[in-house]
Amino acid sequence: MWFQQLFMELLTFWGEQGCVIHLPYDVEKGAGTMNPETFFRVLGPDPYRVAYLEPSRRPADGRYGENPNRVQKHHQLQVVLKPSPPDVQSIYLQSLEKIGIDLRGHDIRFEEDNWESPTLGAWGAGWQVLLDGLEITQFTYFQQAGGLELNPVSVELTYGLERIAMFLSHMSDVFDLKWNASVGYRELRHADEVQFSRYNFEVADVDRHFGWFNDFEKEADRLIEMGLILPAYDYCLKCSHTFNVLDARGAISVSERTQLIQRVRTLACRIAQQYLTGEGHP
Amino acid sequence: MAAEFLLEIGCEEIPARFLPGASQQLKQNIQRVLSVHSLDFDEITAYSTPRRLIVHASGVATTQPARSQEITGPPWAIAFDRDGRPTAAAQGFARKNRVGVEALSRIKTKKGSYLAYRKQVPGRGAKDILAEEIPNAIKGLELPKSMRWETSQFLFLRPIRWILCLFDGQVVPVQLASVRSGDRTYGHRILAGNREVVVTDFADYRQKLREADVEIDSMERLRRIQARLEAAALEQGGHLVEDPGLLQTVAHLSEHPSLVCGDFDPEFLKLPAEVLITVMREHQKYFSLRDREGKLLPKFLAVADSDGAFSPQIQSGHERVLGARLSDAAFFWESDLKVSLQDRVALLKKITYQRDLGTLFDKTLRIEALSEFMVRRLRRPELLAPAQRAAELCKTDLTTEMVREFSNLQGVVGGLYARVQGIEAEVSEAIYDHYLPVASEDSVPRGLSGVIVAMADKLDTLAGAFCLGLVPTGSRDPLGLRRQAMGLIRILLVKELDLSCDAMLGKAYEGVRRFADRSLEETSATFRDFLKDRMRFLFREQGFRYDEINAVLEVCWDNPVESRKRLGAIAGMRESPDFQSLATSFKRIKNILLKAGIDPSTAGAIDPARFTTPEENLLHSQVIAVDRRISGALREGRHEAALGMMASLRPAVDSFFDRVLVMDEDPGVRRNRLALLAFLLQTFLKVADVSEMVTS
Repeated sequence: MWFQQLFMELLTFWGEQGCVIHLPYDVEKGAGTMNPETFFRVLGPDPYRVAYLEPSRRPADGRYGENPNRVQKHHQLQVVLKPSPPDVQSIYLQSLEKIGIDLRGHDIRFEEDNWESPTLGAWGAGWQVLLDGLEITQFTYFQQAGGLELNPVSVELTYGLERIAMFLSHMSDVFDLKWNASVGYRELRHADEVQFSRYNFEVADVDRHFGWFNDFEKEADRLIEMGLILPAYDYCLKCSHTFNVLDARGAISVSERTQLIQRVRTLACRIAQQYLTGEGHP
Repeated sequence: MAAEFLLEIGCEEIPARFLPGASQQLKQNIQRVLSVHSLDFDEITAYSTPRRLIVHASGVATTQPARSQEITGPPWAIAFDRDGRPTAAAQGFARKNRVGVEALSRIKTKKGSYLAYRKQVPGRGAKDILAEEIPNAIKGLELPKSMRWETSQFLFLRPIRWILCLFDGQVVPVQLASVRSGDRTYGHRILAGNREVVVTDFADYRQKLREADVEIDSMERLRRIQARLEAAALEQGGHLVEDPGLLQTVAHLSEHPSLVCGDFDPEFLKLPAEVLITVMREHQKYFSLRDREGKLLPKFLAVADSDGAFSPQIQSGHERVLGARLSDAAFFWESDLKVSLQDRVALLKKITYQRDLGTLFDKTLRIEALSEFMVRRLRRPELLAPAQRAAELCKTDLTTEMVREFSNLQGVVGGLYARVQGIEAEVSEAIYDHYLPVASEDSVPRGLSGVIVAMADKLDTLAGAFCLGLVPTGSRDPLGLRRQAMGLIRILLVKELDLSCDAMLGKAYEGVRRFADRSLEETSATFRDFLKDRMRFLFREQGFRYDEINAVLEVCWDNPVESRKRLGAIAGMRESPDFQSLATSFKRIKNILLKAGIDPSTAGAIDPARFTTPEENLLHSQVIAVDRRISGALREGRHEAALGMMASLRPAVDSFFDRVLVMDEDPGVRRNRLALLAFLLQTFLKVADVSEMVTS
């Protein structure tokens, strides 16, 4: 199965389940959860279902395109179901069948893994779904986001697309994947990996990034004060990405680390609270 | 009438680590319901799978026994008139209870006689009681980490999706969260396609679930896995790397376990076995195999929740995943080795050891100082260089990628890197071993340098925590201090090291003094009580009795080796009549001094000129002689002899108490006698506080 087929099949499947098929959000982020379509929509009482593809950037995971399993940008397919349906596990398993996994012929397990995002003030209880020992999905019942207890509880499914694609095509190098019939993953993404690895590990200007972190934080703070929650959240995301670059660059000491995470978290929590009190509610 | 009870709470996958505890608790809570409501039963058993918590009880009484209840009415005096006819009061009381007056009786209380009705209350049906109590039994579970999943806000380990609850073949109506009980369950999610199954009783339940690929008994699953692991090891011509913890876990991760045997690229065998085994265990929950010479084989055993029909396909999946994991480990191994441990020492300055206790570099310096102190105390100057070198490098592996990935390999990884970097064996072994012993079955460090660094590390951790007033309470011990103290004691005992814990703590305190908000005295006192508690526990485990342990620790806690020798002597001696009698006299002396308000350590000098009886003189001269000999015997480690000397005083002590009145009218004589007893007490206390002994 081609890479593009994989996410198209999954999006079609979830579209049939009543999900809004949304698009990636155009600010760099470490995980699909940080897309406003998840962060904001899980807050408050309104039911919602959404699925989208999200390219996720994790600067520290870069390997200059030399590691067959690790990349600094990978693709997640994110599904949020609010409230969580009682048969969600079996719907999820159907989605696997939809992409050609014969459940009967594999070892599928739900092993405890409680997702947590300190920067978003969010955590949930759930599992990593293992397919013959390979983690293919993070399955989470959201308990808290932006420091707030969630009710109703949303369920979040995050598919790791590269891994699933490698599994389905019996490949052990991500760069051997086919994106479509004629274009390969290597062709589309390898230069990206090489250049961003160099940038994140060697080139990124540390002082300037620290400066940006402070500026983005100030801007977010100002926007929160004005009740412009959605733009404020963009700057919160930029803080988070800036932090990730600094971290990959090895520029953050252990004690600084905790403080910086705390600062992003404070923004996220304030934004979540304001969102709920009405101002900024879309 | 007796019937059968069956409860199955059907859930989404419950974390393996919570399963045994939750299952046992559920059984206990149901058992409590039955007992509290006087419902007899034959047997109650818990079962569990990742998707079910199950309780089965057999021979449960279908109704409670009837009981009688006494209802008190009006005073007897006003219940009947002069002719013995019931008054309005008596008739009213009878009417209220819907019986005739003839059914009433007379009871006597402290306040007088009353009219009373002894009512027979029929027992309630077990099914009704269960329906009422089961929700409480489940809400009463103490769950370590629970979650919400629906608007009812019900809290449980994972979402509850069905409840099977039968009593005597009938559904017991129960609701938990939004789920109502019924008479059905579901088969294996994949193998049986989550097939719905209607159940009539336990035998039927068990049978049908077996047909639907679910084994409900975790012990049975564990045995099955164990047998297959052993068979597979045999087939591969090797033997299994035993891992009871992992075996438990995988038994709680599947409803239908089968075994997959796979290979990995032998190229990875260049990595140390410790790393390979850890990657397989921690990341993938795989078992490893060794060949007959003990060398690791390039193979793994995975437990799959499957029936084995598609093993080759499943196997190749597992092989690819492990290959990727091992590539990562190899990457860490090679990139870590580019920076020597020596160069990593400076990196420790950037890592906080613990808030308020400085960096890992600070801790390293403290471990070095403590190691030097111990080397001197042990008079082993040849250990100074290796111990200090090991101390300097022991924490450097905390800066490596490998330990960041596998934190439980700390120490081990440092030792392995040291060896590869050509550091002498005594030092690399010391680094490798210095966290030992962790679990109670662990051995202690092999070489003496390792022993010294291990003790220095633990002492620094304890002194650091105690000087900040961080002391474990109840089950909370986030810093693992109990384990550290236990490790320290076990090392001292196993290696028979003659070291004073108090002196070592004093030295450790010097290191953390600048962070301390408790004085040395307070810190020492905390340490002493803490260490005594651990020793009490350890010696109990070794089979000594409470009173023996208390008698020894009361006077000798500072040096565990010495404490244990005295314990051995006391345990051997305690049954002898002289010793028993002495223990009794000892308690008496303690009481006399206590009543007289005398502190034995400052009782004043004895003046033999003021003795008025031969018994006093005799006892005095004997105690002087024995006191000197006991000190000598203790110095030479002859503990039985010291106790024997104590016992030899029995005739003199007995005749003293027979003939002499301590509390003489003459204050001078009295004080002198009390001083003699105080001296005697002090002599005994050199060995043990035998007043703690329980005498028969």
